[in-house]
Amino acid sequence: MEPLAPHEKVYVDSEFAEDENHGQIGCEECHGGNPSDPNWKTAHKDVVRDPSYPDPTESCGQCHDEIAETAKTSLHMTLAPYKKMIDMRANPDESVHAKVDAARETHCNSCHSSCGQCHVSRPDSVDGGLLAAHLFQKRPPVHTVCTACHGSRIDKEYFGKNAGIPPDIHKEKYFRCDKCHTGKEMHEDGKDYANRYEVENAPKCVACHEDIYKDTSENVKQHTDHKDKLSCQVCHSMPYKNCYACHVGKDDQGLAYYKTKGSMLNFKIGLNPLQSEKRPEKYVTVRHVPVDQNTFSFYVENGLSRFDVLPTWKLATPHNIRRQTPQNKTCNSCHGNADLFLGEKDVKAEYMKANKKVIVPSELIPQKVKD
Amino acid sequence: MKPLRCAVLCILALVVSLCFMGDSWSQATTGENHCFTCHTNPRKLIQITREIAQARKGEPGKSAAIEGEG
Repeated sequence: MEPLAPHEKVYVDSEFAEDENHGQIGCEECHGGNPSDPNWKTAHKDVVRDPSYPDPTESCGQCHDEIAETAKTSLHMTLAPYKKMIDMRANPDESVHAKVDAARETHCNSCHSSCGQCHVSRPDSVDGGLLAAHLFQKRPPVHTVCTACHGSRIDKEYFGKNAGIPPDIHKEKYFRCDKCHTGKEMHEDGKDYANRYEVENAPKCVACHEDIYKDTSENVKQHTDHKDKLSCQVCHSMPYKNCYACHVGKDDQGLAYYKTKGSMLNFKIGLNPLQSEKRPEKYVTVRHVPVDQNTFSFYVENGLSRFDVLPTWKLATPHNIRRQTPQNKTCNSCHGNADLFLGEKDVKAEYMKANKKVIVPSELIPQKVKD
Repeated sequence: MKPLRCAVLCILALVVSLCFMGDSWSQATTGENHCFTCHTNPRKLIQITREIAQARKGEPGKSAAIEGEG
């Protein structure tokens, strides 16, 4: 993503005044400040750069009231699952927990978004800057918004930037992110979700591929045989990125930093840790997330004392879908192929207990079949 | 008579408020909006952002200790 020059970040297209909706609202009504003051320094007193964060109801909500009301508690805005997950792992001692919480706020929660940081500017976490000179973007642009944040994994998977791995088939069909991840999913419905997989209106492959279970479908047998047993990605995703050992802290100048170990391309099928009526599959693709028992050690020792309550290999929906993949070439490309399944061999000894629920025991690896 | 008096009062109130609204409307349209004139002027923005950069010279940006993918 091309960086913006400092003046480009705040340049407003005069065409904005022609926007019959947003252009008719005085600048100060959303941003504060004093438009009649010719001195830029004093005019900017109390200016709010992003009036939509953390609560968009007084700005966007003046017109988009229903969306603003739910968007303010959406996962992009609050990153609430981070807190939920870290709280579960955190040391129950109040003073230790408070330090973990402060570290989470400083580091993990700095990557939130907002109405403005999708529809008007680049997200703050990637240095901000107006997207199209303050012209509102109904559909957030892919490269300067979505993958500006989701860059390490999704961007590289979807656009085929991982060496030797082709791009997602949907990318080749020119699908933008919002083709699957609609506004309804992004703006949510105000419910307090535990994780993004629970969100109502999240993408469902069968919403488009509705014919796969029909008798006339080319691979109806394969799809029917595996229905509700495997997630779509188990057969259709390519190797994807796994990250390890994130440690956070502050340097000599007091600036926040993170350090992660090199990521690895891999493909692993694990037992579904979030099995539910909505996601009944027994086998799903799992991705190693960068959490580590010592992630917050810079701030407090033994901060994540209950580390083992959650797996470090999490349910994943990789974004490099292909019709044909190494594991679906033949039945026995997968059946009996222990390398594809998350086993004890793939898990560090100290994280064995945490991952017990997702590790596939050898007796649960599907037996070879007669081709 | 009462409804008639009431109607006259209402009309009077409306006329007065329209006069005031018109006054503030004309103020808003004739007064310069410095946000807009400045933020739509690249030359001015370059000058100010350089001024800001100069004032912030030496201030650290992102930590040099960052390693790996986020």
